[in-house]
Amino acid sequence: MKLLSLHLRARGAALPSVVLGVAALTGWWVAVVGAVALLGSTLGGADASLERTTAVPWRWWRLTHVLVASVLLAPTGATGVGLLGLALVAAVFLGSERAWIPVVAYAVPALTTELPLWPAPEVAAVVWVVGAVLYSRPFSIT
Amino acid sequence: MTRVLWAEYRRGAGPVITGVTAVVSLLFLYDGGVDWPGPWMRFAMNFRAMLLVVGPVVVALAAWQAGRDRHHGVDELLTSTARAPWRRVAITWCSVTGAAWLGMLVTVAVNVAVIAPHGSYSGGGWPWTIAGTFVGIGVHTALGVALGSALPVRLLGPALGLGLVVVFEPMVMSLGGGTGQLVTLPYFPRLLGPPIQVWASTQLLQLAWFASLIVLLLAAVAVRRARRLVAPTAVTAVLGTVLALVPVAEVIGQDMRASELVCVPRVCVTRADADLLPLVTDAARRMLDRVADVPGAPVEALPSTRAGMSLPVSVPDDVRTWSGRVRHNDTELRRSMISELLYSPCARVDTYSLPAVVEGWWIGEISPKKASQRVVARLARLKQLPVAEQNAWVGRALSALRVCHPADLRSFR
Repeated sequence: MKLLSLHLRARGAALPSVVLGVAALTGWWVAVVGAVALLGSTLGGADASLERTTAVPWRWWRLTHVLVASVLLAPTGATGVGLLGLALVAAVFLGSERAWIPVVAYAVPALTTELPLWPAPEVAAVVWVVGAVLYSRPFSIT
Repeated sequence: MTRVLWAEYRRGAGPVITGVTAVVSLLFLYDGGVDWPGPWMRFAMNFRAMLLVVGPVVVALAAWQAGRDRHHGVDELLTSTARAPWRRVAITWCSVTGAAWLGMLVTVAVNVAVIAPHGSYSGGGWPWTIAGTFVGIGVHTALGVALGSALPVRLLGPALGLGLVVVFEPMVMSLGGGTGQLVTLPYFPRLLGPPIQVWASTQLLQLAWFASLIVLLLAAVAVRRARRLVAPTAVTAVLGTVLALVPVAEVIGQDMRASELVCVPRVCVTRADADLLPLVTDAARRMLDRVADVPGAPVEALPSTRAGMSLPVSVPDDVRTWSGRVRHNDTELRRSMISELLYSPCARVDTYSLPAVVEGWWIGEISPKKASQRVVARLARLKQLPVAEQNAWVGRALSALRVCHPADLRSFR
Protein backbone atom coordinates (compact mmCIF):
# COMPACT_ATOMS: atom_id res chain seq x y z
CA MET A 1 0.00 0.00 0.00
CA LYS A 2 2.84 2.30 0.88
CA LEU A 3 4.50 1.51 -2.44
CA LEU A 4 1.26 2.32 -4.27
CA SER A 5 0.93 5.59 -2.39
CA LEU A 6 4.54 6.47 -3.22
CA HIS A 7 3.97 5.58 -6.87
CA LEU A 8 0.93 7.84 -7.13
CA ARG A 9 2.77 10.69 -5.43
CA ALA A 10 5.81 10.25 -7.66
CA ARG A 11 3.60 10.40 -10.72
CA GLY A 12 1.69 13.48 -9.50
CA ALA A 13 -1.59 11.63 -9.83
CA ALA A 14 -3.71 13.66 -7.38
CA LEU A 15 -4.94 16.39 -9.74
CA PRO A 16 -5.43 14.04 -12.70
CA SER A 17 -7.49 11.76 -10.44
CA VAL A 18 -9.80 14.61 -9.46
CA VAL A 19 -10.29 15.75 -13.07
CA LEU A 20 -10.74 12.12 -14.09
CA GLY A 21 -13.51 11.79 -11.51
CA VAL A 22 -15.22 14.92 -12.82
CA ALA A 23 -14.92 13.63 -16.39
CA ALA A 24 -16.31 10.22 -15.48
CA LEU A 25 -19.23 11.73 -13.57
CA THR A 26 -20.18 14.50 -16.00
CA GLY A 27 -18.96 13.17 -19.34
CA TRP A 28 -18.28 16.82 -20.27
CA TRP A 29 -15.85 16.65 -23.17
CA VAL A 30 -13.61 19.44 -21.88
CA ALA A 31 -13.18 17.50 -18.63
CA VAL A 32 -12.47 14.31 -20.56
CA VAL A 33 -9.78 15.95 -22.71
CA GLY A 34 -8.36 17.71 -19.65
CA ALA A 35 -8.28 14.46 -17.67
CA VAL A 36 -6.46 12.59 -20.42
CA ALA A 37 -4.02 15.48 -20.96
CA LEU A 38 -3.23 15.44 -17.25
CA LEU A 39 -3.03 11.65 -17.22
CA GLY A 40 -0.33 11.93 -19.88
CA SER A 41 2.01 13.53 -17.38
CA THR A 42 1.50 10.64 -14.94
CA LEU A 43 2.80 8.11 -17.45
CA GLY A 44 6.42 8.75 -16.54
CA GLY A 45 8.46 9.75 -13.54
CA ALA A 46 10.39 12.94 -12.89
CA ASP A 47 13.71 11.22 -13.58
CA ALA A 48 13.55 8.37 -16.05
CA SER A 49 17.18 7.29 -15.74
CA LEU A 50 16.91 7.11 -11.97
CA GLU A 51 13.80 4.95 -12.16
CA ARG A 52 15.50 2.67 -14.65
CA THR A 53 18.14 1.76 -12.07
CA THR A 54 15.58 0.53 -9.53
CA ALA A 55 14.71 -3.13 -9.14
CA VAL A 56 10.99 -2.64 -9.84
CA PRO A 57 8.98 -4.60 -12.43
CA TRP A 58 8.00 -1.45 -14.31
CA ARG A 59 6.23 -3.33 -17.04
CA TRP A 60 3.53 -4.55 -14.61
CA TRP A 61 3.35 -1.21 -12.85
CA ARG A 62 2.77 0.55 -16.17
CA LEU A 63 0.21 -1.99 -17.32
CA THR A 64 -1.68 -1.67 -14.03
CA HIS A 65 -1.47 2.13 -14.28
CA VAL A 66 -3.02 2.03 -17.77
CA LEU A 67 -5.72 -0.45 -16.80
CA VAL A 68 -6.80 1.54 -13.75
CA ALA A 69 -6.91 4.76 -15.78
CA SER A 70 -8.88 2.99 -18.52
CA VAL A 71 -11.42 1.60 -16.07
CA LEU A 72 -11.89 5.07 -14.56
CA LEU A 73 -12.27 6.57 -18.04
CA ALA A 74 -14.64 3.84 -19.24
CA PRO A 75 -17.82 5.84 -18.42
CA THR A 76 -16.74 8.47 -20.97
CA GLY A 77 -16.92 5.87 -23.72
CA ALA A 78 -14.82 5.75 -26.88
CA THR A 79 -13.87 9.43 -26.58
CA GLY A 80 -11.91 9.02 -23.37
CA VAL A 81 -10.51 5.56 -24.04
CA GLY A 82 -9.28 6.51 -27.52
CA LEU A 83 -7.69 9.70 -26.23
CA LEU A 84 -5.94 7.69 -23.52
CA GLY A 85 -4.54 5.44 -26.24
CA LEU A 86 -3.30 8.55 -28.06
CA ALA A 87 -1.65 9.80 -24.85
CA LEU A 88 0.03 6.41 -24.36
CA VAL A 89 1.45 6.42 -27.88
CA ALA A 90 2.61 10.03 -27.39
CA ALA A 91 4.21 9.18 -24.06
CA VAL A 92 6.29 6.48 -25.74
CA PHE A 93 7.46 8.64 -28.63
CA LEU A 94 7.52 12.16 -27.15
CA GLY A 95 7.90 11.50 -23.44
CA SER A 96 5.31 11.76 -20.70
CA GLU A 97 5.74 15.53 -20.28
CA ARG A 98 4.66 16.08 -23.87
CA ALA A 99 1.99 13.39 -24.02
CA TRP A 100 -0.71 16.04 -23.74
CA ILE A 101 0.30 17.74 -27.00
CA PRO A 102 -1.27 15.26 -29.48
CA VAL A 103 -4.28 14.89 -27.19
CA VAL A 104 -5.04 18.63 -27.17
CA ALA A 105 -3.98 19.19 -30.79
CA TYR A 106 -6.28 16.38 -31.95
CA ALA A 107 -9.24 16.74 -29.63
CA VAL A 108 -9.76 20.50 -29.39
CA PRO A 109 -10.20 21.22 -33.14
CA ALA A 110 -12.33 18.12 -33.64
CA LEU A 111 -14.62 18.84 -30.74
CA THR A 112 -14.97 22.60 -31.28
CA THR A 113 -16.11 21.92 -34.84
CA GLU A 114 -18.45 19.25 -33.45
CA LEU A 115 -16.89 16.54 -35.57
CA PRO A 116 -16.85 13.01 -34.10
CA LEU A 117 -13.53 12.37 -32.41
CA TRP A 118 -13.33 8.82 -33.73
CA PRO A 119 -14.94 7.52 -36.92
CA ALA A 120 -16.08 4.44 -34.98
CA PRO A 121 -15.65 3.10 -31.41
CA GLU A 122 -13.53 0.30 -32.86
CA VAL A 123 -10.95 2.85 -34.04
CA ALA A 124 -10.70 4.25 -30.52
CA ALA A 125 -10.28 0.70 -29.18
CA VAL A 126 -7.49 -0.02 -31.68
CA VAL A 127 -5.67 3.20 -30.71
CA TRP A 128 -5.97 2.22 -27.04
CA VAL A 129 -4.63 -1.30 -27.67
CA VAL A 130 -1.69 0.03 -29.71
CA GLY A 131 -0.93 2.58 -27.01
CA ALA A 132 -1.20 0.07 -24.17
CA VAL A 133 1.04 -2.46 -25.94
CA LEU A 134 3.70 0.13 -26.82
CA TYR A 135 3.64 1.70 -23.37
CA SER A 136 3.83 -1.61 -21.53
CA ARG A 137 6.95 -2.79 -23.32
CA PRO A 138 10.00 -3.11 -21.05
CA PHE A 139 11.70 0.27 -20.74
CA SER A 140 9.34 2.02 -23.12
CA ILE A 141 9.72 5.09 -20.96
CA THR A 142 11.62 4.19 -17.82
CA MET B 1 19.32 35.77 -35.92
CA THR B 2 17.94 33.47 -38.61
CA ARG B 3 20.06 30.61 -37.26
CA VAL B 4 18.75 31.16 -33.73
CA LEU B 5 15.16 31.30 -34.94
CA TRP B 6 15.61 28.14 -37.01
CA ALA B 7 17.10 26.31 -34.00
CA GLU B 8 14.25 27.53 -31.78
CA TYR B 9 11.73 26.40 -34.39
CA ARG B 10 13.21 22.93 -34.82
CA ARG B 11 13.86 22.24 -31.15
CA GLY B 12 10.58 23.64 -29.87
CA ALA B 13 6.90 23.26 -30.67
CA GLY B 14 7.34 24.77 -34.14
CA PRO B 15 6.85 21.69 -36.33
CA VAL B 16 3.81 20.63 -34.28
CA ILE B 17 2.27 24.12 -34.56
CA THR B 18 2.88 24.23 -38.33
CA GLY B 19 1.35 20.80 -38.84
CA VAL B 20 -1.66 21.38 -36.62
CA THR B 21 -2.37 24.80 -38.13
CA ALA B 22 -2.12 23.57 -41.72
CA VAL B 23 -4.15 20.39 -41.21
CA VAL B 24 -6.84 21.93 -39.02
CA SER B 25 -7.33 25.01 -41.18
CA LEU B 26 -7.58 22.90 -44.33
CA LEU B 27 -10.04 20.52 -42.68
CA PHE B 28 -12.01 23.47 -41.36
CA LEU B 29 -12.29 25.10 -44.77
CA TYR B 30 -13.06 21.84 -46.58
CA ASP B 31 -15.16 20.27 -43.89
CA GLY B 32 -17.17 17.59 -45.64
CA GLY B 33 -14.76 17.91 -48.55
CA VAL B 34 -17.37 19.10 -51.03
CA ASP B 35 -17.74 22.85 -50.95
CA TRP B 36 -15.84 25.28 -53.09
CA PRO B 37 -14.09 27.72 -50.71
CA GLY B 38 -14.61 30.81 -52.90
CA PRO B 39 -15.33 33.53 -53.65
CA TRP B 40 -12.48 35.37 -51.96
CA MET B 41 -14.47 36.97 -49.17
CA ARG B 42 -16.12 33.72 -48.12
CA PHE B 43 -12.71 32.07 -47.98
CA ALA B 44 -11.34 35.02 -45.96
CA MET B 45 -14.21 34.88 -43.45
CA ASN B 46 -13.89 31.13 -42.98
CA PHE B 47 -10.12 31.46 -42.70
CA ARG B 48 -10.63 34.03 -39.94
CA ALA B 49 -13.21 31.86 -38.20
CA MET B 50 -10.61 29.08 -38.16
CA LEU B 51 -8.79 31.01 -35.40
CA LEU B 52 -11.47 29.92 -32.99
CA VAL B 53 -10.42 26.31 -33.52
CA VAL B 54 -6.68 26.66 -34.01
CA GLY B 55 -6.17 29.48 -31.49
CA PRO B 56 -6.50 27.43 -28.28
CA VAL B 57 -4.06 24.80 -29.54
CA VAL B 58 -1.53 27.46 -30.54
CA VAL B 59 -1.85 29.19 -27.15
CA ALA B 60 -1.29 25.86 -25.39
CA LEU B 61 1.83 25.06 -27.41
CA ALA B 62 3.22 28.60 -27.12
CA ALA B 63 2.80 28.46 -23.34
CA TRP B 64 4.58 25.12 -23.23
CA GLN B 65 7.47 26.39 -25.32
CA ALA B 66 7.82 29.55 -23.23
CA GLY B 67 8.01 27.44 -20.07
CA ARG B 68 10.71 25.09 -21.39
CA ASP B 69 13.61 26.97 -19.79
CA ARG B 70 11.98 26.57 -16.41
CA HIS B 71 11.11 22.90 -17.06
CA HIS B 72 14.76 22.23 -17.81
CA GLY B 73 15.93 24.25 -14.83
CA VAL B 74 18.07 26.62 -16.89
CA ASP B 75 16.09 29.84 -16.48
CA GLU B 76 18.42 31.22 -13.81
CA LEU B 77 21.44 30.29 -15.90
CA LEU B 78 20.02 32.11 -18.92
CA THR B 79 19.25 35.17 -16.79
CA SER B 80 22.95 35.46 -16.04
CA THR B 81 23.87 35.72 -19.74
CA ALA B 82 24.51 39.04 -21.49
CA ARG B 83 21.33 38.82 -23.59
CA ALA B 84 18.47 41.19 -22.81
CA PRO B 85 15.35 39.45 -21.38
CA TRP B 86 13.15 40.78 -24.19
CA ARG B 87 15.37 39.05 -26.71
CA ARG B 88 14.59 35.57 -25.39
CA VAL B 89 10.87 36.32 -25.20
CA ALA B 90 10.89 37.86 -28.68
CA ILE B 91 12.72 34.88 -30.20
CA THR B 92 10.29 32.43 -28.61
CA TRP B 93 7.34 34.49 -29.89
CA CYS B 94 8.82 34.81 -33.37
CA SER B 95 9.46 31.09 -33.63
CA VAL B 96 5.96 29.99 -32.57
CA THR B 97 4.26 32.74 -34.57
CA GLY B 98 6.37 31.93 -37.62
CA ALA B 99 5.45 28.26 -37.17
CA ALA B 100 1.75 29.11 -37.16
CA TRP B 101 2.17 31.41 -40.16
CA LEU B 102 3.89 28.63 -42.10
CA GLY B 103 0.89 26.37 -41.51
CA MET B 104 -1.53 29.14 -42.45
CA LEU B 105 0.43 29.93 -45.60
CA VAL B 106 -0.04 26.33 -46.71
CA THR B 107 -3.80 26.81 -46.43
CA VAL B 108 -3.71 30.18 -48.19
CA ALA B 109 -1.60 28.74 -51.01
CA VAL B 110 -3.99 25.81 -51.51
CA ASN B 111 -7.00 28.11 -51.58
CA VAL B 112 -5.38 30.62 -53.90
CA ALA B 113 -4.64 27.75 -56.28
CA VAL B 114 -8.28 26.62 -56.10
CA ILE B 115 -10.03 30.00 -56.23
CA ALA B 116 -7.81 32.14 -58.47
CA PRO B 117 -8.35 30.24 -61.75
CA HIS B 118 -12.09 31.00 -61.60
CA GLY B 119 -11.65 34.77 -61.61
CA SER B 120 -13.93 35.08 -58.58
CA TYR B 121 -15.44 38.27 -57.22
CA SER B 122 -12.74 39.98 -55.19
CA GLY B 123 -14.62 42.79 -53.41
CA GLY B 124 -15.58 43.16 -49.77
CA GLY B 125 -12.11 43.96 -48.43
CA TRP B 126 -11.08 40.31 -48.12
CA PRO B 127 -7.29 40.94 -47.93
CA TRP B 128 -7.85 42.81 -44.66
CA THR B 129 -9.58 39.80 -43.18
CA ILE B 130 -6.68 37.56 -44.17
CA ALA B 131 -4.15 40.04 -42.76
CA GLY B 132 -6.17 40.20 -39.52
CA THR B 133 -5.99 36.41 -39.25
CA PHE B 134 -2.19 36.42 -39.43
CA VAL B 135 -1.87 39.18 -36.84
CA GLY B 136 -4.64 37.55 -34.78
CA ILE B 137 -2.67 34.32 -34.44
CA GLY B 138 0.20 36.51 -33.23
CA VAL B 139 -2.03 37.68 -30.38
CA HIS B 140 -2.65 34.05 -29.45
CA THR B 141 1.04 33.18 -29.46
CA ALA B 142 1.87 36.32 -27.45
CA LEU B 143 -0.74 35.33 -24.86
CA GLY B 144 0.71 31.83 -24.65
CA VAL B 145 4.31 33.04 -24.46
CA ALA B 146 3.48 35.65 -21.80
CA LEU B 147 1.54 33.25 -19.58
CA GLY B 148 4.00 30.41 -20.13
CA SER B 149 6.89 32.68 -19.13
CA ALA B 150 5.13 34.22 -16.15
CA LEU B 151 3.29 31.34 -14.51
CA PRO B 152 5.28 28.47 -13.03
CA VAL B 153 2.37 26.06 -13.36
CA ARG B 154 2.82 22.48 -14.42
CA LEU B 155 0.72 21.59 -17.45
CA LEU B 156 -0.24 25.21 -18.04
CA GLY B 157 -0.44 24.51 -21.79
CA PRO B 158 -3.39 22.11 -21.84
CA ALA B 159 -5.14 24.09 -19.10
CA LEU B 160 -4.88 27.28 -21.18
CA GLY B 161 -5.94 25.57 -24.39
CA LEU B 162 -9.03 24.02 -22.88
CA GLY B 163 -9.79 27.15 -20.87
CA LEU B 164 -9.85 29.26 -24.04
CA VAL B 165 -12.24 26.83 -25.69
CA VAL B 166 -14.56 26.99 -22.69
CA VAL B 167 -14.42 30.79 -22.41
CA PHE B 168 -14.13 32.13 -25.93
CA GLU B 169 -16.19 29.79 -28.05
CA PRO B 170 -19.51 30.38 -26.22
CA MET B 171 -18.65 34.09 -25.96
CA VAL B 172 -18.09 34.54 -29.69
CA MET B 173 -21.12 32.46 -30.59
CA SER B 174 -23.31 34.47 -28.24
CA LEU B 175 -22.07 37.77 -29.66
CA GLY B 176 -23.37 36.87 -33.09
CA GLY B 177 -22.23 38.14 -36.43
CA GLY B 178 -22.94 41.84 -36.40
CA THR B 179 -21.94 42.86 -32.90
CA GLY B 180 -19.42 45.64 -32.52
CA GLN B 181 -17.66 44.09 -29.50
CA LEU B 182 -16.57 41.30 -31.79
CA VAL B 183 -14.08 43.59 -33.46
CA THR B 184 -11.92 43.69 -30.32
CA LEU B 185 -11.40 39.92 -30.62
CA PRO B 186 -9.54 38.22 -33.45
CA TYR B 187 -12.50 35.93 -34.12
CA PHE B 188 -15.39 35.92 -36.56
CA PRO B 189 -18.17 33.39 -36.21
CA ARG B 190 -18.20 31.08 -39.21
CA LEU B 191 -20.51 31.96 -42.10
CA LEU B 192 -21.94 35.30 -41.12
CA GLY B 193 -24.33 35.14 -44.04
CA PRO B 194 -22.35 36.38 -47.00
CA PRO B 195 -21.81 38.55 -48.93
CA ILE B 196 -20.01 40.51 -46.23
CA GLN B 197 -18.01 43.70 -46.45
CA VAL B 198 -15.32 45.03 -44.10
CA TRP B 199 -13.81 48.50 -44.27
CA ALA B 200 -10.12 49.34 -44.47
CA SER B 201 -10.23 52.03 -41.77
CA THR B 202 -11.75 49.71 -39.15
CA GLN B 203 -9.52 46.86 -40.16
CA LEU B 204 -6.40 49.01 -39.90
CA LEU B 205 -7.50 50.09 -36.43
CA GLN B 206 -8.05 46.45 -35.53
CA LEU B 207 -4.60 45.47 -36.80
CA ALA B 208 -3.06 48.29 -34.74
CA TRP B 209 -4.97 47.07 -31.66
CA PHE B 210 -3.74 43.51 -32.17
CA ALA B 211 -0.16 44.73 -32.65
CA SER B 212 -0.31 46.83 -29.47
CA LEU B 213 -1.71 43.82 -27.57
CA ILE B 214 1.20 41.69 -28.76
CA VAL B 215 3.75 44.30 -27.67
CA LEU B 216 2.05 44.75 -24.30
CA LEU B 217 1.84 41.01 -23.57
CA LEU B 218 5.49 40.41 -24.46
CA ALA B 219 6.68 43.54 -22.65
CA ALA B 220 4.80 42.48 -19.52
CA VAL B 221 7.13 39.51 -19.10
CA ALA B 222 10.28 40.98 -20.67
CA VAL B 223 10.82 44.39 -19.08
CA ARG B 224 12.36 44.66 -15.64
CA ARG B 225 10.94 48.04 -14.68
CA ALA B 226 7.21 48.52 -14.44
CA ARG B 227 7.36 52.10 -15.71
CA ARG B 228 8.38 50.82 -19.12
CA LEU B 229 4.96 49.24 -19.38
CA VAL B 230 3.17 52.59 -19.14
CA ALA B 231 3.47 53.54 -22.81
CA PRO B 232 2.36 50.19 -24.31
CA THR B 233 -0.48 49.97 -21.78
CA ALA B 234 -1.70 53.47 -22.65
CA VAL B 235 -1.53 52.84 -26.41
CA THR B 236 -3.37 49.52 -26.05
CA ALA B 237 -6.06 51.05 -23.85
CA VAL B 238 -6.66 53.96 -26.24
CA LEU B 239 -6.79 51.73 -29.33
CA GLY B 240 -9.07 49.22 -27.60
CA THR B 241 -11.46 51.94 -26.44
CA VAL B 242 -11.62 53.59 -29.86
CA LEU B 243 -12.17 50.23 -31.52
CA ALA B 244 -14.94 49.20 -29.15
CA LEU B 245 -16.74 52.48 -29.83
CA VAL B 246 -16.77 52.03 -33.61
CA PRO B 247 -20.40 51.72 -34.75
CA VAL B 248 -21.45 48.23 -35.78
CA ALA B 249 -22.25 49.41 -39.31
CA GLU B 250 -18.62 50.43 -39.81
CA VAL B 251 -17.27 47.11 -38.60
CA ILE B 252 -19.01 44.65 -40.82
CA GLY B 253 -21.89 44.97 -43.24
CA GLN B 254 -23.56 43.55 -46.27
CA ASP B 255 -21.67 43.91 -49.53
CA MET B 256 -24.40 45.39 -51.72
CA ARG B 257 -22.22 45.30 -54.82
CA ALA B 258 -21.71 41.56 -54.40
CA SER B 259 -25.49 41.09 -54.25
CA GLU B 260 -26.14 42.90 -57.54
CA LEU B 261 -27.29 40.74 -60.43
CA VAL B 262 -25.01 39.96 -63.34
CA CYS B 263 -26.98 38.75 -66.35
CA VAL B 264 -26.75 37.30 -69.79
CA PRO B 265 -30.08 37.10 -71.66
CA ARG B 266 -32.63 35.23 -69.46
CA VAL B 267 -30.03 34.03 -66.90
CA CYS B 268 -28.73 35.98 -63.90
CA VAL B 269 -26.47 35.28 -60.92
CA THR B 270 -25.17 37.54 -58.17
CA ARG B 271 -21.91 39.38 -58.77
CA ALA B 272 -20.32 37.28 -56.01
CA ASP B 273 -21.07 34.16 -58.07
CA ALA B 274 -20.46 35.73 -61.48
CA ASP B 275 -17.90 33.08 -62.38
CA LEU B 276 -20.72 30.53 -62.15
CA LEU B 277 -22.51 32.06 -65.13
CA PRO B 278 -20.64 30.24 -67.95
CA LEU B 279 -21.09 26.96 -66.10
CA VAL B 280 -24.88 27.13 -65.77
CA THR B 281 -26.16 29.31 -68.62
CA ASP B 282 -26.61 26.55 -71.16
CA ALA B 283 -28.48 24.27 -68.76
CA ALA B 284 -30.66 27.12 -67.50
CA ARG B 285 -31.64 28.19 -71.03
CA ARG B 286 -32.56 24.63 -71.98
CA MET B 287 -34.80 24.49 -68.93
CA LEU B 288 -36.47 27.75 -69.92
CA ASP B 289 -36.84 26.65 -73.57
CA ARG B 290 -38.66 23.48 -72.45
CA VAL B 291 -41.43 25.52 -70.84
CA ALA B 292 -41.44 28.39 -73.35
CA ASP B 293 -45.00 27.51 -74.45
CA VAL B 294 -46.30 26.69 -70.97
CA PRO B 295 -48.66 29.42 -69.74
CA GLY B 296 -47.39 31.11 -66.56
CA ALA B 297 -44.09 29.22 -66.61
CA PRO B 298 -40.81 30.91 -65.59
CA VAL B 299 -39.14 33.05 -68.25
CA GLU B 300 -35.85 33.71 -66.49
CA ALA B 301 -33.32 32.04 -64.22
CA LEU B 302 -32.31 33.91 -61.07
CA PRO B 303 -30.11 33.09 -58.05
CA SER B 304 -31.98 30.91 -55.59
CA THR B 305 -31.71 33.62 -52.94
CA ARG B 306 -33.62 36.03 -55.23
CA ALA B 307 -36.37 33.63 -56.22
CA GLY B 308 -38.97 35.28 -53.99
CA MET B 309 -42.54 34.97 -55.17
CA SER B 310 -41.76 35.11 -58.88
CA LEU B 311 -40.55 31.50 -58.74
CA PRO B 312 -38.09 31.52 -61.59
CA VAL B 313 -35.79 28.71 -62.52
CA SER B 314 -33.12 29.14 -59.86
CA VAL B 315 -29.35 28.97 -60.05
CA PRO B 316 -28.16 27.39 -56.81
CA ASP B 317 -24.85 28.72 -55.44
CA ASP B 318 -23.77 25.37 -54.01
CA VAL B 319 -23.35 23.40 -57.21
CA ARG B 320 -19.57 23.33 -57.19
CA THR B 321 -17.10 20.74 -55.95
CA TRP B 322 -14.13 21.77 -53.82
CA SER B 323 -12.17 22.55 -56.99
CA GLY B 324 -14.85 24.83 -58.43
CA ARG B 325 -16.18 22.48 -61.11
CA VAL B 326 -19.91 21.81 -61.36
CA ARG B 327 -20.67 18.98 -58.98
CA HIS B 328 -23.63 17.54 -60.83
CA ASN B 329 -23.99 15.97 -64.22
CA ASP B 330 -26.25 17.81 -66.64
CA THR B 331 -29.47 16.12 -65.48
CA GLU B 332 -28.76 16.69 -61.79
CA LEU B 333 -27.83 20.32 -62.44
CA ARG B 334 -31.09 20.95 -64.26
CA ARG B 335 -33.01 19.12 -61.53
CA SER B 336 -31.41 21.34 -58.88
CA MET B 337 -32.59 24.40 -60.82
CA ILE B 338 -36.27 23.54 -60.44
CA SER B 339 -36.31 21.73 -57.11
CA GLU B 340 -37.01 24.96 -55.23
CA LEU B 341 -39.73 25.93 -57.67
CA LEU B 342 -41.49 22.57 -57.43
CA TYR B 343 -40.90 21.36 -53.90
CA SER B 344 -40.43 24.36 -51.60
CA PRO B 345 -43.81 26.16 -51.68
CA CYS B 346 -45.87 23.09 -50.75
CA ALA B 347 -43.34 21.36 -48.57
CA ARG B 348 -45.92 20.62 -45.85
CA VAL B 349 -48.93 19.90 -48.00
CA ASP B 350 -49.90 16.65 -49.68
CA THR B 351 -49.12 17.33 -53.34
CA TYR B 352 -50.10 13.88 -54.62
CA SER B 353 -46.67 13.36 -56.30
CA LEU B 354 -47.41 16.33 -58.57
CA PRO B 355 -43.87 17.87 -58.32
CA ALA B 356 -42.26 14.55 -59.31
CA VAL B 357 -44.49 14.24 -62.39
CA VAL B 358 -43.80 17.86 -63.48
CA GLU B 359 -40.09 17.36 -62.84
CA GLY B 360 -40.08 14.18 -64.93
CA TRP B 361 -41.86 15.98 -67.80
CA TRP B 362 -39.51 19.01 -67.58
CA ILE B 363 -36.20 17.15 -67.26
CA GLY B 364 -37.15 14.25 -69.51
CA GLU B 365 -36.59 11.55 -66.91
CA ILE B 366 -37.76 10.80 -63.37
CA SER B 367 -35.34 10.83 -60.49
CA PRO B 368 -34.76 7.23 -59.32
CA LYS B 369 -35.64 8.31 -55.76
CA LYS B 370 -39.07 9.52 -56.86
CA ALA B 371 -39.85 6.96 -59.54
CA SER B 372 -42.82 5.29 -57.88
CA GLN B 373 -45.25 3.27 -59.98
CA ARG B 374 -47.83 6.01 -59.62
CA VAL B 375 -45.47 8.76 -60.81
CA VAL B 376 -44.28 6.72 -63.79
CA ALA B 377 -47.86 5.93 -64.83
CA ARG B 378 -49.01 9.54 -64.51
CA LEU B 379 -46.04 10.82 -66.50
CA ALA B 380 -46.69 8.25 -69.24
CA ARG B 381 -50.33 9.38 -69.44
CA LEU B 382 -49.24 13.02 -69.61
CA LYS B 383 -46.84 12.36 -72.45
CA GLN B 384 -49.58 10.65 -74.47
CA LEU B 385 -51.55 13.91 -74.59
CA PRO B 386 -51.14 16.37 -77.52
CA VAL B 387 -48.31 18.87 -76.91
CA ALA B 388 -50.67 21.80 -76.41
CA GLU B 389 -52.60 19.88 -73.75
CA GLN B 390 -49.37 18.82 -72.05
CA ASN B 391 -48.31 22.49 -71.85
CA ALA B 392 -51.70 23.53 -70.49
CA TRP B 393 -51.63 20.75 -67.85
CA VAL B 394 -48.09 21.66 -66.73
CA GLY B 395 -49.10 25.34 -66.59
CA ARG B 396 -52.03 24.51 -64.31
CA ALA B 397 -49.80 22.26 -62.19
CA LEU B 398 -47.18 24.99 -61.75
CA SER B 399 -49.90 27.46 -60.82
CA ALA B 400 -51.34 25.04 -58.24
CA LEU B 401 -47.89 24.37 -56.76
CA ARG B 402 -47.22 28.11 -56.57
CA VAL B 403 -50.47 28.92 -54.76
CA CYS B 404 -50.34 25.68 -52.84
CA HIS B 405 -54.05 25.53 -52.16
CA PRO B 406 -55.09 22.01 -51.07
CA ALA B 407 -58.27 22.08 -53.16
CA ASP B 408 -56.34 22.90 -56.34
CA LEU B 409 -53.78 20.22 -55.62
CA ARG B 410 -56.49 17.65 -54.92
CA SER B 411 -57.79 18.11 -58.47
CA PHE B 412 -54.49 16.60 -59.72
CA ARG B 413 -54.90 13.50 -57.58
